[in-house]
Amino acid sequence: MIELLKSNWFVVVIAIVILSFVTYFIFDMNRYNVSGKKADGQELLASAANDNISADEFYEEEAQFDSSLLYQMYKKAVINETVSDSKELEEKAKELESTIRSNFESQYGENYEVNLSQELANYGFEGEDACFDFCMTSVKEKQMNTEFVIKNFDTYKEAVEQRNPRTVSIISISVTDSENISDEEQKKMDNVDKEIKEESFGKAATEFSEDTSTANNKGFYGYTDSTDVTSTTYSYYGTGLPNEVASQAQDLKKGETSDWISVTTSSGSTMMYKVYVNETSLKKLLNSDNEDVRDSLVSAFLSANSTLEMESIESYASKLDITYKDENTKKKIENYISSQLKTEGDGEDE
Amino acid sequence: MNKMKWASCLLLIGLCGCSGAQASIQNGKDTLFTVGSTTYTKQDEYNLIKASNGGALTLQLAKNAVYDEVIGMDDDIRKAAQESYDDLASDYSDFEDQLKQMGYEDKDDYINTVLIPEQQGNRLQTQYFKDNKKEIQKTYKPSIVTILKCDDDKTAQKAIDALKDGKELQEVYDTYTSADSSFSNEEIVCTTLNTDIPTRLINQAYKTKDTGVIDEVFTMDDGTTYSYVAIVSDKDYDKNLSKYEETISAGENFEKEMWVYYFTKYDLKIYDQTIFDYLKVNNPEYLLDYPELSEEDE
Repeated sequence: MIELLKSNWFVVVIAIVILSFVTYFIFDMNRYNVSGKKADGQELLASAANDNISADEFYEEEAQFDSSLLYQMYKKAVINETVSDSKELEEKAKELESTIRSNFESQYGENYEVNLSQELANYGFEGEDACFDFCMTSVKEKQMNTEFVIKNFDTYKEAVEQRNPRTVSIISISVTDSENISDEEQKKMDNVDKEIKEESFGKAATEFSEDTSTANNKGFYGYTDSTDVTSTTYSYYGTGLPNEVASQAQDLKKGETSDWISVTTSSGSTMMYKVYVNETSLKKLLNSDNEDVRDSLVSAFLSANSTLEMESIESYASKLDITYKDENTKKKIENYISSQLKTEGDGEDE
Repeated sequence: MNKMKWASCLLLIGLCGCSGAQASIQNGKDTLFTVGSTTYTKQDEYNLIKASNGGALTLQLAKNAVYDEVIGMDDDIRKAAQESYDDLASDYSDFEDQLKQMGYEDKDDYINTVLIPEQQGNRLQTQYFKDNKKEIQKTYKPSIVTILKCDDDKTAQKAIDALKDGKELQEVYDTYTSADSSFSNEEIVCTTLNTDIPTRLINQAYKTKDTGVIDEVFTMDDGTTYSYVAIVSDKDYDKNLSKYEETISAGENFEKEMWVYYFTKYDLKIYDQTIFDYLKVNNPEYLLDYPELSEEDE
């Protein structure tokens, strides 16, 4: 044996090094694992000052405030029992998960997982796959709400119609000073006007617009309504529709194009915009081929009708077999739902 | 060969790592409600509460245990808690109904759960200034001083000489204080929290055994020409405890320091991995068995 070790000393050294690394790795993985403890038959969370804080004591203290959480659990179950999994929804959920993780990481740094877990638990999700499960439930909920809105369009449309919904297209050209347009800048603007007159807004946008997010799509921006217009003057930061453009879009009929609109950006530069209204019919917007438009409109239905989301859940819940083994839980969930519907109904939407 | 297989199995088990303990409730299997094929039990709900709020809530329960141990309960505390409730309720006609909607059983439940611990907390803070007197003095170097901020060292020296000659403070203040001074001729509590006072002045005011003007001109390290004079009026810690408490408790790290002291004294221990992980990220200083975690945090 000793001779064997002597003749293979190098292998032995490597084996010792590897074993050391493995041992340290195992130690490092486990060094912040806590051991459990029981007292009087109850499992403990912590202890201090000769007092044991048991899991049961903790649960009893906190369960009295659990109405909102119970409702989230109930809602999650209704959604997942109503909408089946699909490959398409899974893809959307994965995309959403990636966005959420990225946002949390940029906010909380490398320890973001703990903060994310806490946030997800508030919505009834915990465990290793909590984030994906949350995202899957969210995309299912969106699908459910869209179907509910389509089915109950006439009931909820009025509040949205009051917001003057429409889809619009935009063209933008950069200028140095909107009060003193140079010859070159004027030529660009004239070219746009000519193309709109002779061809179409879409063609003009494709050929001349400097807005990189819309030019390749014939200038199509998407959904806007009166909630995009604010009374406060602010500089345009480069995302969404500039306030001045959103405001002009509200005054146009379907098929109309605005005059040139001057917009000052937060960096001090000036852009000249034209806006064109593609569609104003609510029904047509809801049946749009463009998923973003449909999603924006469903969001508008939800925000314009404050009880819609809960009523949507309740309408699907009524088709499911729901049983309560704990009367107190039933009372909490039902009281929560009715208090939310009452509160939201009282403070009716602007 | 068999030995190799056993060794590999043991290694794999070790590699998997045992995850930390998760405390469970009794009767966790009791069903709360079922929606279609989805069933929720008490354990499910408990796991969610623990994951969302468990760390903060467990910490609060630990603090309550310390309150009960150090401060206890007396009529003064009950009376103060009741007055606090009456004050809150006076703004709302249906305050107790609102509390019930939030989940409290009644007003007494709210008083016992929230307002009494709040009163105990106030008293604990004062008690801390007595219990940890030595360390607080060492860390914060408190004293009661009047500060004169002068335009330069010559003016400051003139102010010192005038005070030593017996001139009244008001006269010296009016004559020699810089127009840019933010210090009045009133006494202030001087501690290491003061970033607008030279460090040496803070140290000397704390160290000096006598009251009166310190015979030294002090300057800041920021390159300005301003010079400072210190007149120490009191050094008695016990006598000035409430003033020191008001000033020092406003410090950024004060609450953390206080709780590290009491959790060390009353042996805070964590037995659940979710709670531990929360504290590891948010309050590593309370994980007393792992001082390296709070060093990493710094």
